[in-house]
Amino acid sequence: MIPALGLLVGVVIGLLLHPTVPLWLQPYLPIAVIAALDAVFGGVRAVLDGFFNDKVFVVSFLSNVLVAAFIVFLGDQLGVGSQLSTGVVVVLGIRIFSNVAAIRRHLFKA
Amino acid sequence: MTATPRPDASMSLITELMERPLEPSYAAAADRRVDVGLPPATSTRSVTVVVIAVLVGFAVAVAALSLRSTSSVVGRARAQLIGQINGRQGVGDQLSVRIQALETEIAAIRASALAPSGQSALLAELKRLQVAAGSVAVTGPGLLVTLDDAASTNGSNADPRANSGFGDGRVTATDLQVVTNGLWAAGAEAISINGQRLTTHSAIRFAGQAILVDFRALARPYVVTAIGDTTAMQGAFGASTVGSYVKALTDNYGIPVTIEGSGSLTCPANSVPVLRYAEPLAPGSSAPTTSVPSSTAKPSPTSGTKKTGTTSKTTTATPKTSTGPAPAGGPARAEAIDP
Repeated sequence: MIPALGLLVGVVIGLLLHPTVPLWLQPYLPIAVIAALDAVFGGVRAVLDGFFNDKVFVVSFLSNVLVAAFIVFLGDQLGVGSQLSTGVVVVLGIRIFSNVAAIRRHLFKA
Repeated sequence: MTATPRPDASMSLITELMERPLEPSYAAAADRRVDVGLPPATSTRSVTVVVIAVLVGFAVAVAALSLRSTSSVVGRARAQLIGQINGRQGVGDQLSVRIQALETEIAAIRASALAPSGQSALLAELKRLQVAAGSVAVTGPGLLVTLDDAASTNGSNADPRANSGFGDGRVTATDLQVVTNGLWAAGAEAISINGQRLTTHSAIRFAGQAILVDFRALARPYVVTAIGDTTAMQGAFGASTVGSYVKALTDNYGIPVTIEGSGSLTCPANSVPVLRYAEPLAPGSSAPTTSVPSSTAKPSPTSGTKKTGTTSKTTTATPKTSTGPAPAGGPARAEAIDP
């Protein structure tokens, strides 16, 4: 409950502050957001499975964001940035969908 | 135990991805906690978890906002450019209106200076030359030749015209050049295309897919207004090779061409070209000089292009001197509109 409130607070802060994203950060932002969402859904599923661990959550969140950003950076350097971004989105998307499916099974038993 | 290998054993990466989307470290950490006698799950209310939740929400909001704002930034830049273009065009239009006004003033002053001094012959000559040079708007009977792209411009690629990047039924600059030259030859005294008066400095050419007359892009349909003796022009035009060329355009490419006579047509004036002529080299001076009688020393873009004249498509629609304005043996039909 409290983390969900925190999520909401973050959204509100973002909407109110409306910070301008520096140009060098812009290609990484969408990928980092998707990686963060993957970690969040993994965490929710772990809560429902009954073995949530805050340390693992934090580490998986940070590593997801960093690795995703690093892959995009590497892709930009190699000239295949858009392809690698697509790969990251596909992999993380699959993970998000199966985690959401597990959450759904927990919540609705269906 | 010799388990038969799974049929999809070679696709371990995808299997891993599909079947174990959760971090295995969650299970490992839970096992460790159970081993030391703690409940497998920790509380979700730790500070770090809340901080990260706030961070994620913030990042999602910022990402959504920034992605939306980039599109609006592009739109704003586009709108700004369009505004600048419109503004500059407005300034250009204002300046040409001012040019017209000043030219009218010049003409009035010239007339008042020449008429009392008994030089009306000079004035008449000036008027005739102005009509020929296209520096005054003229009105009179003439022909209206209308060309348009064929209804189906996506014909087969077997046609040689299609290979040059144009559809079968597109009107080309060459078509307009041929038609205007044919009209000059048929005795036209003034010609304008879509309101662009042709002068001796005019060029009909391509830029990409557009036809330019005097560096102004034309939009279809292309209306060629030719002022002159209507019946004589009609006969001469139809009998010449240009007439068969136009007929071939219609027959082979489906380009609709209509030629109709009209009792009263108007050709607008074109801006007065900068006159230039060569001067003999004065003894002692080393560099050749070009004298420009008007105060404008800068060469106009029209003549600059004419000089370089790189592409074969840059063909000037020059009235032929033998059949040019004011054909011999007939009264001039084009009347100058007094400004």
